[in-house]
Amino acid sequence: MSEQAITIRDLSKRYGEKRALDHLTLSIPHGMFGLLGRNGAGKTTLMKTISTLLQKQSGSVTVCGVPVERAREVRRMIGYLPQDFAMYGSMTVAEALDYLGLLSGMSRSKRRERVSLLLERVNLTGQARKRVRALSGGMRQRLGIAQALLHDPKVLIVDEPTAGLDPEERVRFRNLLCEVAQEKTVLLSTHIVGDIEATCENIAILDRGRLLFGGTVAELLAEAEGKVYSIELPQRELAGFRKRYEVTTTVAGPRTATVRFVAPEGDPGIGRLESPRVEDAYLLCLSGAQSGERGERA
Amino acid sequence: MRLYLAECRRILFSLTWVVMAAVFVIFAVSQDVLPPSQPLQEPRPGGSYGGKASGNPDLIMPEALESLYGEFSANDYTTYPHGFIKTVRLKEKKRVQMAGILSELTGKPADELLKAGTDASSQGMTFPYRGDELVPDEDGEVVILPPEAASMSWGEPIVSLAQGVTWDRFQELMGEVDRLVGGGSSYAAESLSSSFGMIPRTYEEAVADYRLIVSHDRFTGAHARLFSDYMGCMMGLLPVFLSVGFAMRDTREIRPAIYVREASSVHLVLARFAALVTLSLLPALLMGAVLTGLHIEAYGAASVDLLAYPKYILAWLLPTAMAAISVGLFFTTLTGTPAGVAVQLIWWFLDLNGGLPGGLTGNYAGRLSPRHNSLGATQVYLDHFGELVRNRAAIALIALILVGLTIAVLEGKRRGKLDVSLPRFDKRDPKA
Repeated sequence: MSEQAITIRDLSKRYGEKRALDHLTLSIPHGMFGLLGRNGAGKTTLMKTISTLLQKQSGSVTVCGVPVERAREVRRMIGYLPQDFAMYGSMTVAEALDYLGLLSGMSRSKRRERVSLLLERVNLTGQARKRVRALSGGMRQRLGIAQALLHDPKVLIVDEPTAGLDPEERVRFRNLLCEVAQEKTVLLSTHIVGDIEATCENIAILDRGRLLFGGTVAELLAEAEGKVYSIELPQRELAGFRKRYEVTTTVAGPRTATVRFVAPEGDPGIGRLESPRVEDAYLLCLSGAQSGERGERA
Repeated sequence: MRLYLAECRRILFSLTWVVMAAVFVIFAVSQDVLPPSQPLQEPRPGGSYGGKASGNPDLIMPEALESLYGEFSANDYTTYPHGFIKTVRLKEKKRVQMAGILSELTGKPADELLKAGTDASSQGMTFPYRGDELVPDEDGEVVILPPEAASMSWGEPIVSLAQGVTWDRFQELMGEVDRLVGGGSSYAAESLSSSFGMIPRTYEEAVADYRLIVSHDRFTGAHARLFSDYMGCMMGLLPVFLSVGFAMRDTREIRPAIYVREASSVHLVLARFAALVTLSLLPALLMGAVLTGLHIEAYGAASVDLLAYPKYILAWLLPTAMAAISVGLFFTTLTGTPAGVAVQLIWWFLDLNGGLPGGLTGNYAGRLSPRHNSLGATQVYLDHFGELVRNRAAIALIALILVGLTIAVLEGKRRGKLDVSLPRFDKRDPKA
């Protein structure tokens, strides 16, 4: 089996004139891997391509050494939790899992065993007879994870799983993914930096279909070292400041605001140097990409 | 098999299925099929045994000619294209062509026919009469005849067939007449006998038919055939609602979880198709079981064919159900919309009404739902049996082709190669 769970080489995908993925090359190792990017960056397109739900225009993608063109084999190896996951509302939780297990070619005894195990794992045993339409958002996402793990896949692909969840549910969900990542490869796509920060050692940042960064979180933070500052400003100067610098956080007081900002060129000559957080490094990466484009246009 | 059973469970007792089943039952009750009308009895002498299309040229030709002349004179033709009545008035060019046909049929010059026709139509079928021209018939009623017939006695034809007009040539000319008036007329080949050649059935014919029912149909076969005729009218439409409703449940949010599964598109589509067909026929099969019980009571178990209803339902209704379901599945899978309902509605409507000229018994060729709206007429059924078999095979084949196309479309969509859908119909199920 390949050392890398998922290997992507020079992958491109277009929707008409728009390049959703632009010559993307990336290797995803075993364990937890985070895919970060804005809306429209190409994350879902990448997830769907790996999951065999979209056809690539060029390049190659292999999952555990199997090219995605061999869709049936790949589908056996992957579990997919799509964005906005839903199932037939009239089915109960147990029925929905049983039905999807059937579609995964599982025998009745295997389905019984796995459904029971997974309901317990995602803490939905008490909701087994509840109709899917009656589930809360958090419960539905847990059902989503359960169905993705039903056939015990080697790779779990999870697309924006915590969007819309309350903080408690989000933490619970992240912990569940971390547990799963101990024995499987989990590819987590999100635009919420906190999810990545809490769970992933390795990440990639996409923007407009291109890879801006691929490596460990530590490497990402190292790139931001010496470029993150904070300053206290009068409220009236905030708007002007924001035009000059990329502000990552603002803590507003009665008359002043403490602002955390990134300075891509290094020491701005104002403010206090801070240790970078993942969010700072991420925004620095994005702003670097934007200024690079501005430079190209100029 | 497991997936098929799972899909059956999904469909059974869904609201759409319950409504469909209820409509089937209500329709059967409204048509006096459930329970059946009075049991079949051996005909007795001196009764009325209905009519039959004689197919006799000597009867058909003069009757058809007289009817045609009447319509020509008034320039007012009644047709039934697609089952709806339509009045056709021919423009000058076609009137001349029609006069030419009548000229060949009657031996009269076309000019004369045209002039007489023009006179009659321009006077709006009013003729100047003196009082002594009005001829009371034997009931004392006064009948107004066209001028050229005023001197004839009651019952004689206005025009007569020219010498030498053969039956074959007559049929050819009637075909031209039907084309001139836009189709759907009584002069179409399939309508000539039933429109102009009806004669009463004799006692001997009625007895022969009854004996054939006893020996061949064993009573339940005849009842099952009539049942299938009525049920076929609904089977050509209702299952499309079931298949479209079922397929539309695969919303944009649900599809990825299904599509990414290992199950092949062949397996998925065939299991769903088979389940939809089974559940569409289930109401008919259940009614058939009830009816068999009632027939046993009426005729005795030894006299009936216990399997008549299942045989007719599977052979007669199954291809119709397959067709309706496959249309629904294909168009929904392709477009993500209920377009299949519209397509099937059109097909069903054209079939139901467009088949009327062919009659309601023994009308099997080219039908989505074959017609045999008679209790008995076994000989007619046997005479057209080959036609029925070919028709059922063709409809089933069309259905299977559509199923094959559905599989291809689904596979394309699962691989992201095909994305024909309308976002308006791709809404999240708010209750999912």
